[in-house]
Amino acid sequence: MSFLGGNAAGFGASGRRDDVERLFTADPSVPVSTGAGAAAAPGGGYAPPGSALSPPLGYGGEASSMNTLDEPVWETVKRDLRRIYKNLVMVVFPFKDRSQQSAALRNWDLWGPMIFVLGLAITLSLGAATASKTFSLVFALVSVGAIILTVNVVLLGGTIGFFQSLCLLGYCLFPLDVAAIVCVTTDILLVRWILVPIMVVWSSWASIPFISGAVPANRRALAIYPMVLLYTALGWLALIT
Amino acid sequence: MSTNPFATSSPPPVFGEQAPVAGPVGGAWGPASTPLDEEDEPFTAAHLAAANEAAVPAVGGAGGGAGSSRPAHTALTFTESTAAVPSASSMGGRVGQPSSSGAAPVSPVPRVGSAADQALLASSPGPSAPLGGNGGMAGGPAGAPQEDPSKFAFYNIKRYRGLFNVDTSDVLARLLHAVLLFFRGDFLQYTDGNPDLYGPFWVASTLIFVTAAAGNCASYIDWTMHKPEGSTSAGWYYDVDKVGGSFGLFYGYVGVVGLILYFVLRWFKAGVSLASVWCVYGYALAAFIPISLVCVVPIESVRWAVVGAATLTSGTFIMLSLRAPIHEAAGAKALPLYIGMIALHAGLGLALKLYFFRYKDIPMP
Repeated sequence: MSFLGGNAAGFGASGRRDDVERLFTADPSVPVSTGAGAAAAPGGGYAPPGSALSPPLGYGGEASSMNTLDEPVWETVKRDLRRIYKNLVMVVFPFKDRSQQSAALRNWDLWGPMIFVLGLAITLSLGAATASKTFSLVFALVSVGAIILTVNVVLLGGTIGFFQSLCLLGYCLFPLDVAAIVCVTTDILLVRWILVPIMVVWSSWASIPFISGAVPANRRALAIYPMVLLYTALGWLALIT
Repeated sequence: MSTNPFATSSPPPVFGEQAPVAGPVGGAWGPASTPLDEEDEPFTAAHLAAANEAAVPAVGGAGGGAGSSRPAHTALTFTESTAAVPSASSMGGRVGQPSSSGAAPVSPVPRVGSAADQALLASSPGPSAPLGGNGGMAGGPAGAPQEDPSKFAFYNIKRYRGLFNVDTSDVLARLLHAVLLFFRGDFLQYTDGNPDLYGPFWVASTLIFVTAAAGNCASYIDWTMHKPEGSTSAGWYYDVDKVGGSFGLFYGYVGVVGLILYFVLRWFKAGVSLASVWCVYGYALAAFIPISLVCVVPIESVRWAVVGAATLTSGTFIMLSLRAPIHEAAGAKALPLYIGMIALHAGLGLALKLYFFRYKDIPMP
């Protein structure tokens, strides 16, 4: 917990750290969880017992532990999927409070966003006339759009972690994934026209507080509008499939 | 709108001469202080003194700012002058936000530079003009609430914060000014040396999305009106190429045409910065956003009328806004330039109508 606390302090300190370092403040997602509740079981499972070293990173990165390097691939995949699910719940369903969301974002990971982007792009290209163009459009739109949104926040004078922002925007694609799947499977216009706006609103609701907290108060709308535009564009693409 | 008596740019030495006019009111200002300091310090102090004195009766909230500017006269340090700048600039350039101290962390330093940029606008093109407010900053950032953006390396995005130094109210005001008050032609003075690139970029992006969406909507309506009986809605597919075309058209128009115009203006030695040109072009495109939504209506005459009207208003806006710098730089030689600008803008309107909203009598494939 202590290194996470240190990260929180580091994230809060402004202007004293190197700029490049500040962009990538938080550690990537690590197996030891931060949130209460749902995190307990997976978190306890793979922390090395009594280890004072940093917990094992997910993909066999550090040599500090032998557990993850030796384990079967299926174990690794299962653990990653569990983590993605956990992060998803904390980021996209922040019903109780937002602190879980901040905790999840401090342990950002990009596997979840990648899965959701690919899922969205594949789903939308299934229902389109020109599949490859649609796929490239959606993928480019999300990836470049997320980067541009983060740059936009920094340019407006805000402080935001680059990968944390990418992580948030990627996870918040999950409702749009659901919308895309439904739109591809059904032709009933009414269902589409009801579901897609709800999903767009949900995506925006999950990510707005994080983004707006990063910029000065009188520029909140300037930072939020492009994000809403992005989700609306993706929702529209799902709608007209 | 601007109560800044020095809004029309004058080169810095004039401020030294005007200082005695504000002297009796300005407090302990030594004339000896002006030649010693760097070029922009007497400029800013005089600018602040006069602006503060002129506007203090009007804005009660700036009482603290006026108070803190007194020591600025005597000490003439960069820090205190920057501390007083938010109140001066908040009286000058803001719209309806006297208590814009919330923006203090970001605005002080670029605002100083933007005041210096005014001088650049009139006198010379300035090699650092493309960076807007950053070129005029000479003093160190000691004690400034936010770091001076120009001290970052060119690849660090924080360096370009001076180009995004606008609040929500600023952007909305500029949008309204460009779309509704297009006939005034004072946009460059209105942005007061603080052009922003937020407006152009996001107006163009919004326009891309809106035209692609509206174009596809129009195509869908046309398809439902002309489809053979009995076919389901699965027969219509949206055209992804339209989105790609949108990207090229709007980003290209603002970016490339703006860039070319900037170089032409540089050649004519007009003192307009690249950011200002992009700002004008970007906000001009905002007129097309409501138009695209209206163009969903499948009546040709309505579409033509509406696109024509938007092209006229935005074209007028661009021409009137850039007329003053072009005229004073090029005079009669500017006629081909005017014709080029008008032709390009008409081309944009035409492309918009024909590429996105041409569906009336085309048989569907």
